[in-house]
Amino acid sequence: MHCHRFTEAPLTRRQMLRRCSAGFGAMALAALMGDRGFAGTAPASDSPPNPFAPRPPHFAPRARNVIFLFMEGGVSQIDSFDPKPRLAKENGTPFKMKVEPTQFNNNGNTLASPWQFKQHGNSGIPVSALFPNIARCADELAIVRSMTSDFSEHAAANYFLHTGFGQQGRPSAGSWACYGLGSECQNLPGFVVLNGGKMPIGGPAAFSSGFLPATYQGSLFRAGNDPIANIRPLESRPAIQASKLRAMRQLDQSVLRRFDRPDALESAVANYEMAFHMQAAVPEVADISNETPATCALYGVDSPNPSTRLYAENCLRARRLVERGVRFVELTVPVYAGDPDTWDAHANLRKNHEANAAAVDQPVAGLLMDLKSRGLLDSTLVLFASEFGRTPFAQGSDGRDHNPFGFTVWLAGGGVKGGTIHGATDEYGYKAVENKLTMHDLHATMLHLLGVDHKRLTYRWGGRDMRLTDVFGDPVAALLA
Amino acid sequence: MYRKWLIILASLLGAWAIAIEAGAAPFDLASRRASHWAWQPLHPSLPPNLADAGANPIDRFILAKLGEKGLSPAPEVDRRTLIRRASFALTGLPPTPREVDAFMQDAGPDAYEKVVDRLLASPRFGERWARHWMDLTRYADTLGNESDAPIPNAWRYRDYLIRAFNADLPYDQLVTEHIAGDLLNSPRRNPTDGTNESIVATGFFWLNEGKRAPVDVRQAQGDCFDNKIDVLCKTFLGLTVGCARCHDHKFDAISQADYYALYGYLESSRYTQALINGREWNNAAVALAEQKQHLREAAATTMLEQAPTIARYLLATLTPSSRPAGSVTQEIGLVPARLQQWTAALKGPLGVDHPMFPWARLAAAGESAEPAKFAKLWDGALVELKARDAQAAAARHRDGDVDLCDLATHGFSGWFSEEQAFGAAPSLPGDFLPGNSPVRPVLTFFRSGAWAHTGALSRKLQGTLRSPTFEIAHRYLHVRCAGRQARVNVNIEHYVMIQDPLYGTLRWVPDSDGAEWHTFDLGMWKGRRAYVEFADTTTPDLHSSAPKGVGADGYLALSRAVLSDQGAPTSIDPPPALALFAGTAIRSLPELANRVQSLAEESLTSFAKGELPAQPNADERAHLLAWLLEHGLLDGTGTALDGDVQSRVSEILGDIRQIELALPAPQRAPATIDGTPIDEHVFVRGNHKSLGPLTPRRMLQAIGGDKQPAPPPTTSGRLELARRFTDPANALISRVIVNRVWHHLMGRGIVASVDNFGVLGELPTHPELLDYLADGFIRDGWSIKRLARQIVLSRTFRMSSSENAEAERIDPGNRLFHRAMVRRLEGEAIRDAILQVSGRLDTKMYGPGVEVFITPFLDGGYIGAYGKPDASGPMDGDGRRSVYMMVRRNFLPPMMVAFDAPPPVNTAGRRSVSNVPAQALILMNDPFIVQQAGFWAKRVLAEIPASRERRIARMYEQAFSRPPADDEMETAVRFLDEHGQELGIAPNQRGEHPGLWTDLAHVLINVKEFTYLN
Repeated sequence: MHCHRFTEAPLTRRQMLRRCSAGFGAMALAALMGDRGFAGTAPASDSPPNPFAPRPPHFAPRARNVIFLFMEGGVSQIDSFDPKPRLAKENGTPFKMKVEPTQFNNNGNTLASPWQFKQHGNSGIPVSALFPNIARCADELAIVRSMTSDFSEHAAANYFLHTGFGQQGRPSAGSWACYGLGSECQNLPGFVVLNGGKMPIGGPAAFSSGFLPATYQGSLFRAGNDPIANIRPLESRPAIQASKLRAMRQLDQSVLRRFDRPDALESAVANYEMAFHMQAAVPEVADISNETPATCALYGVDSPNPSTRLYAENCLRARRLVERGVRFVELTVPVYAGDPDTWDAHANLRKNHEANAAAVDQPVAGLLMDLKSRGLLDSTLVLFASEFGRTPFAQGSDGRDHNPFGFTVWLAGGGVKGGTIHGATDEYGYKAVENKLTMHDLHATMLHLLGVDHKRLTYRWGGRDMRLTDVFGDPVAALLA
Repeated sequence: MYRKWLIILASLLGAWAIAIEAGAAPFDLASRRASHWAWQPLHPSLPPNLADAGANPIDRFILAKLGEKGLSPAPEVDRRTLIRRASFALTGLPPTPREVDAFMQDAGPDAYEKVVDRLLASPRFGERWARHWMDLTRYADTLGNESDAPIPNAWRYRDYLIRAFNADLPYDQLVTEHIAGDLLNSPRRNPTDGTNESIVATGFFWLNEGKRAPVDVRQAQGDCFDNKIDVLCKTFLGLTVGCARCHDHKFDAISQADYYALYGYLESSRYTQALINGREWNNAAVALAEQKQHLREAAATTMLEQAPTIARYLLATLTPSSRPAGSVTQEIGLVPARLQQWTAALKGPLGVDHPMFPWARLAAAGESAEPAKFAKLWDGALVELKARDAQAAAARHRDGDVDLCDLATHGFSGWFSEEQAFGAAPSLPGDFLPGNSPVRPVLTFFRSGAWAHTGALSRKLQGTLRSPTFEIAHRYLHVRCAGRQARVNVNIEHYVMIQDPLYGTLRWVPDSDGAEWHTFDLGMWKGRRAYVEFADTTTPDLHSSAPKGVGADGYLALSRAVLSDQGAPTSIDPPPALALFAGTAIRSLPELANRVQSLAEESLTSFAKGELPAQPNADERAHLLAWLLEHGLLDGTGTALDGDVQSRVSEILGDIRQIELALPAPQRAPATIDGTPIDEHVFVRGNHKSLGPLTPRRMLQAIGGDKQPAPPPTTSGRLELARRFTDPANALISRVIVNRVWHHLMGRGIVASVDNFGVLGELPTHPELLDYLADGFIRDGWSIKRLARQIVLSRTFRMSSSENAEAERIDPGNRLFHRAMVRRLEGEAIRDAILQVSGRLDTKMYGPGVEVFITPFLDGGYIGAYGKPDASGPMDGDGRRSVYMMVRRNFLPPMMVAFDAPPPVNTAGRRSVSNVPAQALILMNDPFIVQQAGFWAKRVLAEIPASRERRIARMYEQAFSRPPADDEMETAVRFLDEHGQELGIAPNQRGEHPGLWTDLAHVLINVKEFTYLN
């Protein structure tokens, strides 16, 4: 292992062309070949270094794609999937456990959940009245009630949830997945973030490829049919751009000859082909006008609630992206101007959580059902997670502060054991006390379901072989089907 | 020699690998140090003596290696390619057609040398190399994280780098200034404006991501310091010391103790916004101090003139009010108006804390009181005074309270007075605060203890006073201050973003001319370290928004700072009258009046000589004088002497105003300064809650040795640390920088892992060359320019990039440098080149960064992105070079990100080179690119007469430093026709049609030669 330095593949361009299946991707490698970090660290296989080509996993995957429903701000576990009757009994009385420092240090009394819980499905999983539609999918869900994070602040916790590290600079889980497995789609980015209306706190660093090459950067899609910058040609007609690209290609040929056809240049030439196709493919995948009314209705695209509508459209786009082989799709929560608080219910928990739940409940359920009916759920891991949960005691009188000590996330789909509840918090829902999960465990599980051993997915940087899971984490067997 | 190390290394690694597999990895620093090449001293050897190798030693080393493998170097590249390569390598810009022509026409043997010297002398050189350096020090203008708050004046550090590289600042000096530029006896001065240049370099420590409102502030400090240590050691030493935060390094000779030994330097240092034009301010402060003495002397003359009448006025106030005041005063030669002032001054209850308390008590009894009655009253007054005094003493020494400062006895000892306003020492009782009116040149006398007062010389001076670092053992901090437009911050564990949530209560903005107590509740942070910052400056703190009411013209006066477990301060001052009158036998009011007068006369006489603070009972005397002064009782009364004195006072006040008006605007830069020296414990497994042994501050043991002297007792020791870094015996310092220069010029370092010379890094391909260059670099005065010159002039640099199948087989990956490398330009170079060809490049240097261009896509159309600038910057960045664009961590410019500009998080000496569709999409569809293509087209149409071929040729020369080949010319001409047709432009208009030529320009920007160098 320490001999990485000797393993740089001694390939010439011609050898490479022989060894790799054709396609521009084979040549796109060239630029990366010079980068020591990449060589020798591609997972599980000595071959294909094409950054976009699919790469074999370490072992048989249970899921090919991931849809990450990022519930930014912090869904309250005790108001959603982790009922705690004791809170109702002690409502309004001083909280009986030792209170850890909080973000606002304005800690009030025990606060009961305003919502009723009912058991659902064959599994009898309790879900609160906040999520009547998701509740109908209860048997698909593997609910983790013992999730923990290391950070009480949004930005750090967001980075941690996305990159396994509480500061900027590490690659996002989506970047790692694409780095490890490549993409099965050659005209769309492998890692797409569907915008819900607000940049998550901490900024785009949560979707950064960090020290991995920019190839694996998350592409942020805005809502609508014009989702990313520079995807629309500025030329008034396709023929005009085509005419320019024709000239460019001819002139490029001359340059290729002058430069003696180095790999880097051939890759760059080929890169334009992908870009050119993306110009059509991206708006096409974002355009949901050809979906049937029934499908649209399933997601809530026809909802009178604009937030529901927006999220429904993005959930539908997520399915379309996954259908086309996009490896990792993340959705941020829907937010409209004037209410940028996401799930961050520091005050008026009831109003905040009702508004947020109303926006996501039907679209998420619609997504699960649609994926299932199309046979895609088996190969798609759906993850519903916040950066942390909320305190069982009040912030002020009617809010809840951040709580990284015990909260709930759920998984569904490819390889996940539906209808299960894993782990437990204490009787107040404050801290995880049973089968505690770290963020690294969650990441390890996610990679495991994708067929990747989190310990072997490494990249040499800053004197270490870096991992999404740092030096921690284990896949959680109890969550696997 | 190297080979020998290699063998040793290989065997050791083998043994070690076995040990790892057996589950044991013993940490033995000495053997690790002995076994890894990078720790060994420089071992320069003579360049191999080869025929045909030429004079440049670089070529001899390279050729020798090639010869061993039976390889020949690639032939020399053509001149056009060479000047293009050298121009981009040294300045980040393509050569202009004129520069290319000049080179082509210069048949002299030194033609290329002249080009290289021109490029090295170009101001563009510094811009290019500063940007390289900014990759190392993760330069950004904002803190990222949740609020993306600004790092005010970060751009001064960028400008520092540009000047440093242009001036070819010796590298050891550059390193020293980065680590300890604030501690140099005679800092370097900016040659143009005389500002302190050296201290600006220390700002790099503070360019890390800044966490907002951490719940565990000690943990946040650990994360933040970890980044600083990592950047420091990677940048200068090529060592991954950050890997030793939680345990001894897994591979290198770096112990966890090494890590925490460095941590202590950061704990012993503090953040500031340094006043870099402080020299002018210092001079002004000296001149103001001189004027203040003049003012004192002049003012004392007037006051002393009034003093002899004090007793008479006092007694005159006893006169029954029924008698007409005028008649009495005329009788005894007093001025009626003045007597009215005296009467007014003595009116009202003059309580026990008043210096005239005994007078007030006894005057009530009347002028003609019986001696016995007088004595009784007198004794009664003394009893009250003593009781009050006892109360004051008890309050002063409340059980459990601890004074954070003792200004009167210890001055600023252990404290840190930065800039001029607080001066070198507090103002003692009896010192005076200057006024600005000729009638009252003395505003008042300091009393009730010593004061740290920023207006003691002039309110225009600015400054910060910082307490020693202390561990919070009490719940409360009570501070007693007066002030306007100033602030008091409590910085806990170096956390300086004082704002809500959690930290908002750690700032107080006093707004009263009377002293007030303020209480900070520190209960949340018991056990944490903190210091208190008293500031009267224009730049409030690490985030931009000035707290409400803080500005330039305010002042801050600190009297006490008390740590306490009680929620309220105690604040009783000793009654001044006790000391003034207690020791004297007073039997009548006239005696008392005389006593008052003699006290005033004595005190004023001392004051005139500047000796009042040294007098016994100076504080009490100051109380008396202040009372007299503040009631106008010492003002001149219009005699001839008054007139002279007043005109003298006016003159001095005029001089003071002149000095104040001449003060330059403050220029500030983020910087590091010393705080209380602190050694840190090892954090077991990186956890601050689990402390291991104390680790005194020192250099890494593998470099500094086992026995290193402790840092001087009152400093952080950073200067001594810097000396360790730059010690020529530390082979890493020279090897790492030489390798970086080689990397940037040649495309790959001799050690390819430029930031990691450790075991997990790569071995040098040419260790002898590396050491030869490193050794020569030191001998040649640590000159980066001369090193770059030597490399760029080498035949090795000038080789063609053409591949030869046989050579590729023997030297795959070109590790032996048998040819030049084809390289993609950095995003900055691409953008700058576009601006240059379009004619829109503005070569203006320096200054605040150009605001980021915010598109609807930059934040994904998201609302509520914290830290989003109020207004977007211009799309073309005002045509400035990319190095001058602001770097907002949460709004990184998409073009730079797509072309692999590293995120500003850590040292990134080698950029990755990716090939992603976003790059093509930007060059194809970004409005900025199309806009510049339009400018380029118009420029060519305007500058070159109406010939399609000549215009096309010109564009090729501008973009690619060469004329088009025939087939290229043919393609371009055909494009104009066919594309013109596609656009529906009549044939006779195609020659001048800006839209058509814009499209050609756009095509050329997309031709790969625009973004790749051969």
